[in-house]
Amino acid sequence: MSELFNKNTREEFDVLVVGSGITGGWAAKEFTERGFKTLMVERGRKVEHRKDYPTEGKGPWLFSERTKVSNVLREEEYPVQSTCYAFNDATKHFFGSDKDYPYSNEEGTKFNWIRGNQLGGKSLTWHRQSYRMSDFDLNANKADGHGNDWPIRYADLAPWYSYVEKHVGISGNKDGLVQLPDSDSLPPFEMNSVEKHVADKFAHHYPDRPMIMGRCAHLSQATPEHMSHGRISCQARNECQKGCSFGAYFSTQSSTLPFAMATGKLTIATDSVVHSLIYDEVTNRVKGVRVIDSEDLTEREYFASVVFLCASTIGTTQIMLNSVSKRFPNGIANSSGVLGHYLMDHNYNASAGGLVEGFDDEYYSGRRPTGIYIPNFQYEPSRYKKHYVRGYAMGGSASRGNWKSGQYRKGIGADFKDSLTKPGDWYFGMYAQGEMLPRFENQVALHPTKKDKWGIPQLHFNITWSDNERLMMEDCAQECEAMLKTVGAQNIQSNVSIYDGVPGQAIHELGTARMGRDKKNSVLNGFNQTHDIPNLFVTDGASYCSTATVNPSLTFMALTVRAVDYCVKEMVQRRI
Amino acid sequence: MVKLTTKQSVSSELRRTILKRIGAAVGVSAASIVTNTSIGAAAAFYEKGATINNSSTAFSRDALLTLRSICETVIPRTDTPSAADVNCHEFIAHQLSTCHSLSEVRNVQQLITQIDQVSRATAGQPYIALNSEQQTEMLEALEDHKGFDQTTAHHFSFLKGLIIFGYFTSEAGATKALNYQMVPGGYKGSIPVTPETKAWGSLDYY
Repeated sequence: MSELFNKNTREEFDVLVVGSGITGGWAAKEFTERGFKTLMVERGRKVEHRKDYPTEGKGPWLFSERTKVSNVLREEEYPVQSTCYAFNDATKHFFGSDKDYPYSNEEGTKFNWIRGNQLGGKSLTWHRQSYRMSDFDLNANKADGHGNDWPIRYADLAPWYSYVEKHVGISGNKDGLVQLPDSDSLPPFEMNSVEKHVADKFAHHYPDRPMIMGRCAHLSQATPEHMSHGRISCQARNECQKGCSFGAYFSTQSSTLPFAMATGKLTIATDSVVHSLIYDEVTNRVKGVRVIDSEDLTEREYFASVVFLCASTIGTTQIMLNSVSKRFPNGIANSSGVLGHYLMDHNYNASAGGLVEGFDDEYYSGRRPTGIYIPNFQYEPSRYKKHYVRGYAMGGSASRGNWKSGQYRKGIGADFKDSLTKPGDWYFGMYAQGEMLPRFENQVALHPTKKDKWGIPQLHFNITWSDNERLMMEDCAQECEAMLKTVGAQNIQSNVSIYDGVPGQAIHELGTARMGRDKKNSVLNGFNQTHDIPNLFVTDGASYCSTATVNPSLTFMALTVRAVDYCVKEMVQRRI
Repeated sequence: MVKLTTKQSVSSELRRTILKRIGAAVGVSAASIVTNTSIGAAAAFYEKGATINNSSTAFSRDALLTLRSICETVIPRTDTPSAADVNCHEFIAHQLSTCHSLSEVRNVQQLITQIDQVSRATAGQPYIALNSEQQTEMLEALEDHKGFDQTTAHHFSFLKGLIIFGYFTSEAGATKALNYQMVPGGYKGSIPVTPETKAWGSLDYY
């Protein structure tokens, strides 16, 4: 058995997996379990399960700024990362420093690129919402003509969804909805009483908008098998982004890496920034990767028979764009010219909420790591609104107010203090999770001159919302208000943030190396294999043809294991 | 030594009260170290117009004492510690210097000065020397814009937010005044509320 962490390895591997996040972890698990000698290449540092969760369980008083981030850090080190809802003083070590990873935006545009550059990547900090895509989602581009047709349908993914779900542990109800296929799931988290009340009202007034419990990658009830993985049931702390020693949510560290490690077939090279792929024009195969050490800037190379790019949507595309040769002067496997194009994000730019009266004698216990969910109800062209295409899902929750409202209330002294220690008014809030259309103009490219500290060309973004996204958010805010009225909510307020909110903020960056049936307008085939080079695969979000409305990570997992299965068969057939 | 500007006419009883309050504020010297030394030193490495970059903007000892009294007035000691007991005033001085804008710091500094000036003008004594009823009345008047303008009331709302944040994120505030679940053990969608029920001090995000 070779050493697990070894960045100086000279071995020739069967498979090289670039990235260690959600897709990298799955690719490594699947290949090693099938007996393939695999090298996982990670640009960031080593993070070990439990050992490297330094802030886990710590109360706010143990942070000198009570988990807020100081001006110095916010302005100098994390100007972009600090815009993320999950970024704070207790989680900042799982976000990449903006100082180290600079990029630029086309004038008048802005993309917020949230990064997690460490072993485990963003699997440590993700929001864990997990939904299957439906045939309506996979057919959307074809049905309304925006973007290219996905080369796959639900039947292609369904068995692989089941496969990953059983291992990951997805909590959720079997809701039996055509627009949101059920998962092979663990029991759902409970709704609180106000949520049940709201769900009943919506069911009456909006029968096409069922409100269900959000499905998430948490062990709501760990099975004996999960416990044998060293994972136990979720304790409802909802401090997931600090890391979870209970292993109650899915991360590379808690769920895939232990299995890959146990095979003895895995080697991990951390602190290894991939500069580019090594390509052999004679055989038309990638041979490996060129790497620059993130710490001492020395260069090295790793070699393998197959390369899986799982470096995150943008990370993967940066590597591909920077891998140039005589045959591929504009980026490897880019004969179509669409590499870097059709960049998308989800559109979370409308919200509304109001106070719900009654239920004063009820509270809840624990911090539920998910909320309620209303699946997209405009999931096919016949259900579209007249003035824009596609639709949005809605997330939300009901909760009781707390001391945070105290600033805006009058009161001084003991009675005021006492009032702040009691559960406050019930508030029900909801927000949009809308689609963003795939558009050629929305692009990430290499900057012609600027380089990062590793000498790698920086990225330059040019991405904007279109009228479709703006109209959708305006509509969502109005719909939310109308729905809240049917519940009898008071002080209803809505907000449309798309005029200030920039793409990237949903951290669902998608596209830029899209799949497709036609190699003239897509980078990958239906198995996430590049059309141009048989032994090069991309299984992260770069492969997306459309955003759909559902959170993408579960689909990344299914795409990855399906691609591994295909790749292995091709290797056996000696076509790779 | 702590320098206090008090009027000659302050009674000996009042002097004792003041001294007691200073005595309670053992954190004052520690606070001045925090505000004048460590933050100043940290700031020396960091220069940007929007934030504090020198110790001259730190709170004076007098201002810190007044702030301590304001903390005590807003969230007094009951069966649980007060905001002053958990050194909210020191936290606020620190938090303003590290996490807030220069204008927000100045607003709070001016607010404290103003509260003290109004106190001297109307009651003939600094704020710290007023009894707790007078102090409460004065801050209530401030919230009602009586004797204070709307801008001042707005700045007070900001300071009040900091006091509340500082208190309920302190260990005693989060775990004694509120109910803190470090490991809830699971989620229950409905539990009954009784007169003794305290709100959760353990939040998803602070």
